[in-house]
Amino acid sequence: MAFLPNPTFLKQLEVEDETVGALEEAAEVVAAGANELRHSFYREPGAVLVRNESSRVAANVYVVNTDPGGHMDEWGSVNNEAYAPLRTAVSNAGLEFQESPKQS
Amino acid sequence: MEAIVRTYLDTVVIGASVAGETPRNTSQAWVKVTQIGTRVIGNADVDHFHAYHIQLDCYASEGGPAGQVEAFDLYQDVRAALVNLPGTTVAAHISTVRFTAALRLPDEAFEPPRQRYILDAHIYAGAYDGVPS
Repeated sequence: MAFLPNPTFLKQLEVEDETVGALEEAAEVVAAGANELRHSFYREPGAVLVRNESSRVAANVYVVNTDPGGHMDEWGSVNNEAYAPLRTAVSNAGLEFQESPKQS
Repeated sequence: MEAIVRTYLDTVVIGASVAGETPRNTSQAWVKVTQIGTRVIGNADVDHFHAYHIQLDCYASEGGPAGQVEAFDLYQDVRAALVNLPGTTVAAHISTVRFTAALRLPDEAFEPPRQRYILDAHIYAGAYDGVPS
């Protein structure tokens, strides 16, 4: 009898509750770190949050900065340095930042 | 590493100044080099090989469509120069340059917003003589 590997095995594994839970756990660490590092530029600052938009077909866990000045905090401007709270928090969590991780 | 990148780009990128901060004269194109962070690669007990996280802001001399073209050309020049950095004689042993983000984000602190492309680079370098900066 020939062994036939399941071609959708990785996809199935990716959307397992345990996998998504591990992603959420890592995202929470990043979000907590980013909240420590971030700066607020406006009177009503947002926060760095974790958003889990995973479904049965895809695991999508996001770390989102809802501060209206978040882009200036992250990337800097002529008036302020790039404090990079999100990128730094990713690195501090022992993870590696990639712009477009390859989707399997 | 900021100083090494600044010095290197200053010699190979034509038509723009390269600085660690915003120049007084912002009517010319410029590249701002910022070290976001660094981490030790491999054995954390041996301070030898590092990944330097460098942000490069490629500013145009103006806003609008013309500025966008200018900033993009500058970004391409900077990116091409950094690709050639490993193997180039600089004050560090550069092994790899990897880009993790590239985006157009006009600087809204200018009026009108100044065109800017941002390049995020990770430069892997071994120990060298001198004071890292």
